[in-house]
Amino acid sequence: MREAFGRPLGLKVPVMGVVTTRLPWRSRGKPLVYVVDRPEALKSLPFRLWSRRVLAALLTGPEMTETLFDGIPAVADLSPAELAELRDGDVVLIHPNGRVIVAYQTGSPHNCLFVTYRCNCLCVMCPQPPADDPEDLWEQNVRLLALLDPQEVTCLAITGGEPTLLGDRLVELVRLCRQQLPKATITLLTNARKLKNLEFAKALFKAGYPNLFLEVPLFGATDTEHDEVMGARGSFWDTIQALHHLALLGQPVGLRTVLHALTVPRLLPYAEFIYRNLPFVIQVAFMGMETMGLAEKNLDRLWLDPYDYREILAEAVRYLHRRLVPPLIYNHPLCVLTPEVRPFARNTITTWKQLYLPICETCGQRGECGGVFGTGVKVSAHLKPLPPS
Amino acid sequence: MTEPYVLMPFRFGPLPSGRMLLVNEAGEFLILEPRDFTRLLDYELTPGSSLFLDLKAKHFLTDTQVAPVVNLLATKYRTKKGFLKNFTGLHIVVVTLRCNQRCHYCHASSQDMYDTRWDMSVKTARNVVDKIMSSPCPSIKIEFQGGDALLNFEVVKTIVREAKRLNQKAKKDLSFVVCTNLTLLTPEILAYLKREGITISTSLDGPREIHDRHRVLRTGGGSYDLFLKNLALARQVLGHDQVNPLATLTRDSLPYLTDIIDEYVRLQFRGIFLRNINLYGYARSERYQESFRYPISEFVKAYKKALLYIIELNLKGVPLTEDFATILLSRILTPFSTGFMDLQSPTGAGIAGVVYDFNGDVYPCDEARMLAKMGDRRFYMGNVNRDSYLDIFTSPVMQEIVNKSCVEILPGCHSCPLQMYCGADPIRNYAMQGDLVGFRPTSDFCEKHKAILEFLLELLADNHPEVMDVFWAWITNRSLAEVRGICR
Repeated sequence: MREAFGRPLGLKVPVMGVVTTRLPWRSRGKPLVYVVDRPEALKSLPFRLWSRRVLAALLTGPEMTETLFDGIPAVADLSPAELAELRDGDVVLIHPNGRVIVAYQTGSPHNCLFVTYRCNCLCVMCPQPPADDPEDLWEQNVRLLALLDPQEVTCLAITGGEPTLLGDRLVELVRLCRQQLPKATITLLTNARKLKNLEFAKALFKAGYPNLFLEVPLFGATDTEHDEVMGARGSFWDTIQALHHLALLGQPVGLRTVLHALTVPRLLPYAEFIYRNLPFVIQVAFMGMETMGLAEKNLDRLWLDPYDYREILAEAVRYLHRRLVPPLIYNHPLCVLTPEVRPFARNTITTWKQLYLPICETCGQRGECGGVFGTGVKVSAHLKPLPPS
Repeated sequence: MTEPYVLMPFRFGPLPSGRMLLVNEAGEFLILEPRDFTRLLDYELTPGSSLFLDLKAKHFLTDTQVAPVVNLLATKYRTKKGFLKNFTGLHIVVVTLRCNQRCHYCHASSQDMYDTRWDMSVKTARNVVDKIMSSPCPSIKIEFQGGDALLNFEVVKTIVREAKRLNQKAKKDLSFVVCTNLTLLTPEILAYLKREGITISTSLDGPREIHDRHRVLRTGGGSYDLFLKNLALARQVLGHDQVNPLATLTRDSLPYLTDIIDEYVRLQFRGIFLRNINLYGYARSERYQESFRYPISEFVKAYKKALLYIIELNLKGVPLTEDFATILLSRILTPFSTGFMDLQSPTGAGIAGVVYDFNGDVYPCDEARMLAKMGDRRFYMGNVNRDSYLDIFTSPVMQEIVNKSCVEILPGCHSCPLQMYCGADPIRNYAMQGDLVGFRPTSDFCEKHKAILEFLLELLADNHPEVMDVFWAWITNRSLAEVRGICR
């Protein structure tokens, strides 16, 4: 469950709170959202005076006695399966219309702060085309940060849109992340164009050191190729300049490319360019394309079956691995990769988007495999079960 | 602009195979068919074609912006010339000229075993350390040479002690190597080397028949058996990889290169450095010309054959590196600077490394010291007992050497496509051709490096995956399995 709908009761404003499945005797001050999955759970409500004071909302299953809610705002009639997915420590955002969004999922490696819908590029395969920002987006993210458990969070991504469009506010957010979540690696997903401004790059580096890691998309070895994919002329040289600033500062940076008909044919020159011009990057991720948004719209122009480019991908991976630039493969099921590069694959598809097809049932390596995007319109035609590794 | 694209600076020339080699200012190369090269120059390439994008990605041309390409090339050029940033890191100290061996080709002008006039004094040693620790280089390597360095071991100890004492303040990355023929090694000396973290550099010419032919004791007889015995002892105390040998290839050993390589494999050495003999010192004497001297073309021929043999060994599971190829391949294939004193531009002599003679005289390299020993003090930089650090390292002779060793402006080098991978040796030019600048068409140095670089480039152009795996195992100092990604 990433989001669910229920019947709203007494909700006037959006509510954000930390999920709890048991009402504690004492509260730690953070607003709580109590999961009521069985009628008995309501019985202790009148006796938990201290936690009552910070109880922001209830999330309940069907057929609960509403009179026992005691006037606390609630979303009722959620399915038992949906409620069962919620864990203590999750953070949910509840809208007055009964929409419940899981903003943070405890224990998941895929949590992120979504900081803007705006972007300064328009990539041909963008799964989520740019849009205007809702007014309260910033406040929501700051509130979410405050609700996280500093001892528990080990990684958090900042993504968008293009986060650097926030300017100084991004620097502030990164600083806040580092201060409030000292144990967390903060991964900022950015095209880095704005960071060709050395002062901005410096401020960001200082705010995030040593917890900040940047992942930057680079789609080609020349401006001709990269700018075409990014849909923005000049973006290649902006990014290259920014990457050299970041290297000078000592800011760890990884690169990513998305594999499709515009990038795959020149994947080896791309790897060569990285080694000769950006040898300081700490990893290069080759990502499978999520066929939604603009990728779906441009599917005829972009789609390649991963199975058909597996040799080219393997060659680029080998090329970088030989040169001590760590390559990684994201968003690819293991069975479409050549065996020697499977160790480079990472289980990267967000849990709620992850899909395994019926053919995967008998696969011996399903445990290590990230599956395919459940959100896309197209998957490889060559999925097949593998023997256990 | 009427042309569809702008050519960026690069050098070019045909390879032996007839294909055209293009190398840019940052050392990136591309090998083109002559027909394509002509089309490039005639502005006939189609923008957006695969060849066009290859050339553009490596910055041989651009059809969009010029300024950012120049900036990027500048950054890469600076990276390649990084060896200049830190100044002198390798400090060779000749602690004595005395030696218990009398190798026929000795470069080092070794002297009688008991004539202590040829020893470095403690006072000179202290002044040497003082100069060494004045170097701005954050990483200092002190190499003890001779004669045989073990014959004046008290001075070795003095230098180690003094350097470490001064380093408590200087906090440099300090390391020591002692060069010895191993024959005088004792358990006491080994215990000391172990305690102080000092490694050994030694000489091994090949199997017994080859080694003993020229590496003989002053008391008579070969040194091979003693070498083997003490090698085992040294490895036992210091660790297997702490003893590294060099081979001297003479005319009479060149035909047996594979036997020499096999000997290195048999003794489980990590690598071998195949280098031609230096005709300095005793190696110049008439008596041995027949057994030493060979035309450089003969060395190149043997080298190529040997390199292929070593690659084959690696693919059979024997992890032996060829260290000269490793240096050149690093230059060709990586964006980084490579520290190799003998082949830099400007020359590494004096800048990357320097030699302190037993009497405190300072020379830019060992060859310059040999010349002085033969009576020509042309490259004398100063003396540690009389001159200051600054006087020595900014001496007129040092400035002249730098001036005349930038391949970018040397006749014959200035337009050579191999320039970024090569270097200059003004001292050798002077010794062989009587002039620091030298004359490339008759230079052995040029002939050797050109031939070997071209050979390596043709191997790279073939792009055989197995060979490339071996090369990258050498460059990145990993096993074949790791390079292939099997070991993770």
